[in-house]
Amino acid sequence: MNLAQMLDSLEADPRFSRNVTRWEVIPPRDARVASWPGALDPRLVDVLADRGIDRPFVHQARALELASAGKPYVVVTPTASGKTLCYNLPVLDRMLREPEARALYLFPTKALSQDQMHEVHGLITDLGVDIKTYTFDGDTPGSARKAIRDSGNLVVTNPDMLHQGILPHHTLWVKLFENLRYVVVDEVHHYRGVFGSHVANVLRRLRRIARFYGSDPLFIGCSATVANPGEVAATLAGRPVEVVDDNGAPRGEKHFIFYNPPVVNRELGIRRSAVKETRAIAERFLQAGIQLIVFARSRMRVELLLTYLEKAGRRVGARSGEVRGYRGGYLPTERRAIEKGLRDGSVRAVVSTNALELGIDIGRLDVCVMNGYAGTVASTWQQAGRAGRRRDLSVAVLVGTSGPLDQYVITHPEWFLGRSPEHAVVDPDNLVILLSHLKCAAFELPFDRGERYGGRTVDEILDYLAEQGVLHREGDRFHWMADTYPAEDVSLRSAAPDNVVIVDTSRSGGEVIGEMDLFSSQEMLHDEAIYIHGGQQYHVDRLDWDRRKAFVKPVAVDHYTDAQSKTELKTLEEDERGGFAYGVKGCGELGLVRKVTLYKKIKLGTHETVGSGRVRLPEMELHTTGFWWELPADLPERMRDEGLDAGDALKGLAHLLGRVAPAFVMADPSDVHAVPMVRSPFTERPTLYLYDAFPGGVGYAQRFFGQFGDVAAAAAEHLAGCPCEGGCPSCVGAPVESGGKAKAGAGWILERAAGASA
Amino acid sequence: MDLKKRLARFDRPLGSEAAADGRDPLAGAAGADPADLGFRPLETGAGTTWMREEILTSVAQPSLPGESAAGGGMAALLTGKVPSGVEASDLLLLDTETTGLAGGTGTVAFLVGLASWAADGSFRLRQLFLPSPGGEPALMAALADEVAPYRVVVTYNGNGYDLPLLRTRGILARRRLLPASIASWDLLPAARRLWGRRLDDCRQGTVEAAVAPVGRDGEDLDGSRIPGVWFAYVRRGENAEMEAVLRHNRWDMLGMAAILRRVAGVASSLDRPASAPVAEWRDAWARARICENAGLRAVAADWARAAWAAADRDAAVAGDIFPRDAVRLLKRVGHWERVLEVLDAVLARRGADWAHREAAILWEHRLGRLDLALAHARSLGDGRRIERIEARMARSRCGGPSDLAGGAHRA
Repeated sequence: MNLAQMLDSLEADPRFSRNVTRWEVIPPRDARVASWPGALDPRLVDVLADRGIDRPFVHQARALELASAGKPYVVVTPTASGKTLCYNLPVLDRMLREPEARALYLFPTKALSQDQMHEVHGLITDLGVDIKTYTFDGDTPGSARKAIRDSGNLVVTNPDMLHQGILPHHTLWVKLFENLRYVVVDEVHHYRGVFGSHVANVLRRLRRIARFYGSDPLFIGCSATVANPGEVAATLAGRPVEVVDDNGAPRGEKHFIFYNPPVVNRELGIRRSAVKETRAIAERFLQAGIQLIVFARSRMRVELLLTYLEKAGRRVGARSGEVRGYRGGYLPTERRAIEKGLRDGSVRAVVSTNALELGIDIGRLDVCVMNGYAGTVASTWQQAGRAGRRRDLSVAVLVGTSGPLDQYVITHPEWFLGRSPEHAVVDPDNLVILLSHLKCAAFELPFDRGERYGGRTVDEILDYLAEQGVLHREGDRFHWMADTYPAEDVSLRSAAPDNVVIVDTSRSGGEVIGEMDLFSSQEMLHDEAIYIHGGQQYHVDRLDWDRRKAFVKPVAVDHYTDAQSKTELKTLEEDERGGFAYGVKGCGELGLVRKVTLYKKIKLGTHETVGSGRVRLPEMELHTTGFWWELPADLPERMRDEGLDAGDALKGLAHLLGRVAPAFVMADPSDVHAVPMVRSPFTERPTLYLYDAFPGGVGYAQRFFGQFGDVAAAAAEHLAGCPCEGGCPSCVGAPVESGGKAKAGAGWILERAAGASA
Repeated sequence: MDLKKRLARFDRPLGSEAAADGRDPLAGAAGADPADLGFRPLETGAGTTWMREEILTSVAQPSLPGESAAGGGMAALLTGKVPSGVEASDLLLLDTETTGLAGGTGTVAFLVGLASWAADGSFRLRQLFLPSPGGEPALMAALADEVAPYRVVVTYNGNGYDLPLLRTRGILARRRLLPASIASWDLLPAARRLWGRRLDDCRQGTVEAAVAPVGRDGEDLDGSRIPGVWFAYVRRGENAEMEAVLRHNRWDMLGMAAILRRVAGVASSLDRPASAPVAEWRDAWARARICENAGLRAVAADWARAAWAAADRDAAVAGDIFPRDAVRLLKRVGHWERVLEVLDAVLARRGADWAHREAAILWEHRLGRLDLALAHARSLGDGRRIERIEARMARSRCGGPSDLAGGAHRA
């Protein structure tokens, strides 16, 4: 059966089609090409012609034009649109003319940098010129490092290595910095939130060092589709950046199918297992002999689906090795073999985590089945982009899990398919992050009073560091004055300096299954808690607070736990205030003190409290930025008149917004916390707070302030579309958490917000 | 809100000296006069720096071997190049005191000790001092001037530490400190080769104490405290402990001179056989290896013999490295009996395939005792060798040409 016939049979099968919430057909599109700029080195033109590339797509031509004019740019086109040529061509062209020129390529992960190396290496080999390209990362042997430092024209690395291994040793890289012409940042949309805020500072430090050596490299970025790629790229580049998004690459017809497993328990909003549904759908393609990739969010689900599909594969005569798994933890050689097998067709199906989502070359497959929403629109498109050749028909199926975000997306496909709703939020001026990087920068080169960093002077902070004795001020200069290596203390990846590591003690040697920020861990991972991870219940045997470790083991019990805490929330400073459709919105600095006091054991199904216990953990303090929504003072009375309860409604609303809002800023739900207050001591009214779960905040609150109308509208829609009766974990939370009237109450408030704005 | 307050709320102090000693870094600030420590100002093109100098007549010059020295003289011991016709007065000893071992561009050399022998044989010891970080360009200028006349920089672990650090400081001050023509003699690898086999570690203090004591007083400063002393000096003008740092650096320079004399002494007499009996068998073993690398086979074998004679047998054959070295060196000069002695000692204590193999070869090919060779081949389980030896034995029993003729074991 070919793919078109397969689609017909799916459409005709009511067991499949009745669960489809949207069947989107994206029409094919022809290529739009331009011609090579006259100044492009003819050797490059020849090499490309040998590869069958006679003319550039319009976006590639635009990139070359901007590069030659010395204007920074970011390319935002889909997977497989020839994005990498948008930076490889200008870089190689420059090196052909200026053999001493250097370029630095930054990729967010090691695997990706290896892959890109191969590609650019191929071009250089065909050119037959001596342009030295090297990967410099944690795996680079000591013996090779000197050669890379001295003679690498094109150095491929990652932000962590740049931060800890290159910048603090810039005197060893004199040749690179003196001749640095290009800084290429791929996967720009990855640099968001805390990580992005750190990386923006690493790039500020890079430019500062380049200036010391007299160079001013041109920034080139590539990004998946987000709402504000130009803004993110400009933050990374430190100056305005032109967005190149007029995609000239051709595309075959693509079907994007949103599939929602049927509800099996309306009370709890539980649907049939997404894993089983994914398996059934994937098996149909496998049986039809159509090559496919299946994405799953956790390693465990990858292994589970792999087992099912291997079995199904054998039934249809697949040989061993034709159905493969792919995830972190596999050996590099194994991964290379699978990638090759996918390219040459000898692998018929692969089940992968998002390890294959980034640009690793596996050729183009026919079908992609996603077990669960990938977390962001950008990532989901990248996964879906694994299926789809430039000419032929392709299919992507998104199978929703019961998770709230999945349910939102699967029931609101237009949110996903429309103009990207996701803003990548970066705040390089977050004080915690800024302070860390100013220390690193001062270690690298002394600061002069009045020197600009990130577009502004930082004298006040330098004075503070001098008072702390970390810097020494002499005349108008600040010198590093400590016997430490500050970059070592700053990790770009972790939100806070330390997280709690979750260890599953039932696996041999104890396997780490996840991490959680300290603040959330007190509620979710206290002793005796039932912690749910990837659909599996775990019992927390012990939370070792000092060592930041939670020891858990899998269990199957008929209850869950709910931690009770007391939170004191103080508004320290109101930065912005404005009218909102219903009530008033504000944002500013918050101080939180929270103490988790006890937990309740609650029986599934009946929601009886079957036990409780004390939680003995220290008080947590957090100083961050937050957004708040002040509701009318007489809200409780008004709601009472309607037979509703304001307390329940706010609790439910907090649950709902805490899950919907992060999607707008590409954050994890754990990055944003929501707190309801029936009477806030600061506003003296019923108030709902959404705050950044990272000291100092990374700009989410400001974004919510600007966009709250959209967030509230999305929440209202989601609530209205939720099939549960009186609230479920997918919307306002189970009735036991939020009270029986939470769903109706939250809906009542959101209606007012929407109605008043209409 | 006040930025300072916000900063204080967020900031976690680094493990900096200021945080560690808990004192206000700006209290009683600076104003310290390097003259109080005996430094005098030195004008350079990049401003004023500070230097103090001391001339000692009691520090003997190293006697460097001539260019034609057997075995290559200094080159056999050092990793760096040895310029032709180099004399003691061409050497500049150098040792830095710095703000930490972290490395990278934030580590400063605040004291640079330099020493050299003048034409009259006197030892000229200088110290360049940085009273505050802003004076670095001047210090770098003075240092470049000081280094220029010399052909060799002598350090202890300078290749790994002092010289890269100074190179970095030079780049930051936009000044080339070490001309390409200057050679680097790092005494650490030489010390490792010569004495590393018997010392627990090869830190300068350990090596000095073992082979070239210079009589450091007991109050020498713990090196890990040095950065803090300078920070306290810069921030608060605290002089007291800086004296101890200067003294420490001075001892390091004198210690380096003493180690250099020992190294040069070995280099000058590299072709001299061991004078029996040797005191430290591991040093003799090291000497054997050095001679071997320098192509002095007979001398190497002699030192190996001396090492074996002086060694505690249990310790000497506890590992395989020494006995294998000894067997290899002694074989080359045909000391079969000594070779057997070493092999027997090894085999008496434990089974070792290599020793059985060596013994089998020795008995079969050199000493003509096929029966003993066969025993070792059997212990080794070497089928081809067993077959061959048995065939040879059978031939000789059949009255064929005797393999034993003239090969009787002498023992």
